[in-house]
Amino acid sequence: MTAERLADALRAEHAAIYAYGVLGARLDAATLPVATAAEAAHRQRRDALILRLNALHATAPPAEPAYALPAPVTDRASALTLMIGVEERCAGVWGQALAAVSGDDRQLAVDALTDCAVRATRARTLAGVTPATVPFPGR
Amino acid sequence: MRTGEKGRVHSRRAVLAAAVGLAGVAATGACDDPGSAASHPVPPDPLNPFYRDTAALLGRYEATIAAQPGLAGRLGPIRDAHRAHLQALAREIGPGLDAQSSAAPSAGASGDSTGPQPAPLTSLLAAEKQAASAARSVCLTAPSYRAALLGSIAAARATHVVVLS
Repeated sequence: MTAERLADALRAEHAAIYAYGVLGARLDAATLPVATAAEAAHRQRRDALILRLNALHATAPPAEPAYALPAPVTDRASALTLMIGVEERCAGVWGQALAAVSGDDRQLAVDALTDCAVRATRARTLAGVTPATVPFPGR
Repeated sequence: MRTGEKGRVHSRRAVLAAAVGLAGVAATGACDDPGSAASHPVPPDPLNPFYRDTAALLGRYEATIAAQPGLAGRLGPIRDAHRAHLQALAREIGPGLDAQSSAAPSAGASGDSTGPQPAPLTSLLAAEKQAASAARSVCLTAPSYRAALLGSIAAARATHVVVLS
């Protein structure tokens, strides 16, 4: 159960890293550093998850060569829309993991969920979406 | 260590289940004998202090928005989130919600001068930071069936800190 949920989280992190590679190219100089920092954070979570799954002797799913995006990314607005969607989706996967893990894994999950929620809020603010917060991130 | 924690979770669940069972018996019995309900009180839920703190935080937002309606646009969604959290916590606690918690003061309703006072934004920001940290701690020690709700509340509070900063 624990390994399955962590593997789900790893798949979501792989997809997020791919998405940032696409959307970063459409951002302006003022917004790009936010996306760059977000991508680095997702890579860090991915690495932590691979280590953890190895320690559990569970299979760490590899990244896909490409992922289907929900909409074409053609400009700053569509790039930010994708960023919001990616962070909301990751938050959801981490939120589902929370009920299935304990100890250090729960700490990993709640911190990852919180970071996704914070990045989604930053992206909504940059996109001019109000309110920039949701009552129950990841649910 | 993990086994021990699991054991505690199970035993707490068992206690909770027993409590719910007792409450059910008490409620059914109340039809025949009104005195029996009082003899089987539901034990206080460990989330009660967190519920009270959440109610107090909501009260501060209500008082601040009442005093400065111009802040409603910025603070309203945060106030609404705290209210939604409070309702979700009440549902989660169920019959274990103690009377003191459910009677927590609400500035909007009471208008009582001893209720929550309007707070400057810096004070709300400090309160949110503390509340986010508290929710994270509660999430880490709660039984697993409550972890998703508490983690979501912790995450929401962290986003409030971003908006208020």
